[in-house]
Amino acid sequence: MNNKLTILDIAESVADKAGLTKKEAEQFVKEFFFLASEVISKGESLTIKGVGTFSPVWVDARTSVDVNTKESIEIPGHYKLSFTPDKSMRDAVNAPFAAFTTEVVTVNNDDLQEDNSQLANVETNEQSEDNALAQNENVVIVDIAEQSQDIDQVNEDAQEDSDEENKEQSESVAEQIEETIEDDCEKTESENNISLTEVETEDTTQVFDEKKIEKEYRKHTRNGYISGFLTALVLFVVFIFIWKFFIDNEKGLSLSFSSFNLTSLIEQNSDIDTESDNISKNNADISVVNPIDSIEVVKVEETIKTEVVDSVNVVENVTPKEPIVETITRGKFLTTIANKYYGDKVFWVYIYRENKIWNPKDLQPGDKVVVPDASKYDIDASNPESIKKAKALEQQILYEIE
Amino acid sequence: MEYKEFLELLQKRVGKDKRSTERLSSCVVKTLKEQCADMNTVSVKGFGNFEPKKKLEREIFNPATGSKMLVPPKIVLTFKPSTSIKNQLKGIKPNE
Repeated sequence: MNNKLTILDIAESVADKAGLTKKEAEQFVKEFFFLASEVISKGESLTIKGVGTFSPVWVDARTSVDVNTKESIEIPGHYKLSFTPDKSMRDAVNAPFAAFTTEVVTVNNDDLQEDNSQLANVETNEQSEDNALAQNENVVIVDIAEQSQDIDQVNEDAQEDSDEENKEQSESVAEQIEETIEDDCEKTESENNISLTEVETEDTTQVFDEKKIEKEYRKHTRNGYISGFLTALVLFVVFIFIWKFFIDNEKGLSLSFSSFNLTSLIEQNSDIDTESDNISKNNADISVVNPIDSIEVVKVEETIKTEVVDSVNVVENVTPKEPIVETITRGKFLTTIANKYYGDKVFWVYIYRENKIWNPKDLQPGDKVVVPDASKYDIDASNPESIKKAKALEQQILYEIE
Repeated sequence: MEYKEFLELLQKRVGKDKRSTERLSSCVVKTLKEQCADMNTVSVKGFGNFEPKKKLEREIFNPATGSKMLVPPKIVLTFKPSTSIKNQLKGIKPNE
């Protein structure tokens, strides 16, 4: 990590890899880079496989300022060297960060603001709801108070006997009012509703229009929910019913069919029995009439049999696992052999693996190559998975060769 | 110059057969790659320095789509030619 290496270090590892002495390796490495620098110095571009491309780039003349004298000077046009690493080199160097990809940045500020506004909205809604509830409470209390007054007035006008009843009623209303004041807002709502219904029964309905509307609205929504739920339930039940009915029907149908078939089969069998009798008779007739035909048929059968046996033999001939040995000649490559035996040139990698070849380029005419059995490496030209696997292996091998 | 030509020239200089030249140069390339992948600087006298450098992540703005993109951090191999190569390149006149 972060060491500075020289030619000597490289020569050492090259010597290890290639099995040369250090001196030879050093000489070679030096020669390698000396030649490269010579080529580059001539102004030629140079591509070294596995490293990259060195190419001269023309830089146009430009004016600049001398830092010391502050005079404008002109830098003449010249070549400079640019180096672009090979893809394999780039990937090898960038391996620790290979998992990262360029991603679109979502702007976070907007989201935050939206969240805030939503929160604010929710808060205001809550507040407004609270206010509304409080107002409703007030209104209800006032209304009930008015009603009790009305009832009192009615009481004054009414007879003594009814007076007592009314008084009792008004007392009950008053009690209710006290309760409403004491209880929480939700409870008050529900109790108000109860008191309202009671009050409604006493024919004092004028003042409660708003409340009524709200109640009706709630009733409606509740009814809506209930009706929706009910319809869903009904639909579900109907669906199940139909389904069951269908299945039963099918069973019944199939049963009836099968029974029908059975009976019909039995009938047919009986028919066939009688018919077969007839046929045998007919056959006898035919054999009498056309003996040559029957003989021919027998012959044909025999030939078919022999053919079948032949094909079996062929299969047996193919299956023995004697490895196929192919001799390399001019114009014959691993890929062409693979194409010949496996149907796709991609599978050359398995031949390569089987023979443990150092470098496919090292193969010389006259070299013998063992072609492994297709089943050994799951070779199947019609299977895209197999081809994919072979291609992956190919990449790996090519990388190793480099 | 392509790699093949280069190898041919090298073969003539070293005086070895084609096969071993290829093998040796592939070994050189391999070691160079290994060392660079290990964040080591490889300096070759008279040729230049191969130095892997870390680049920080950065944001770029695509004016066409108006989207901001985050480019991940990465390691890039840089090559600085030696002064002799630089000077020799400067000496070359444009052949137009």
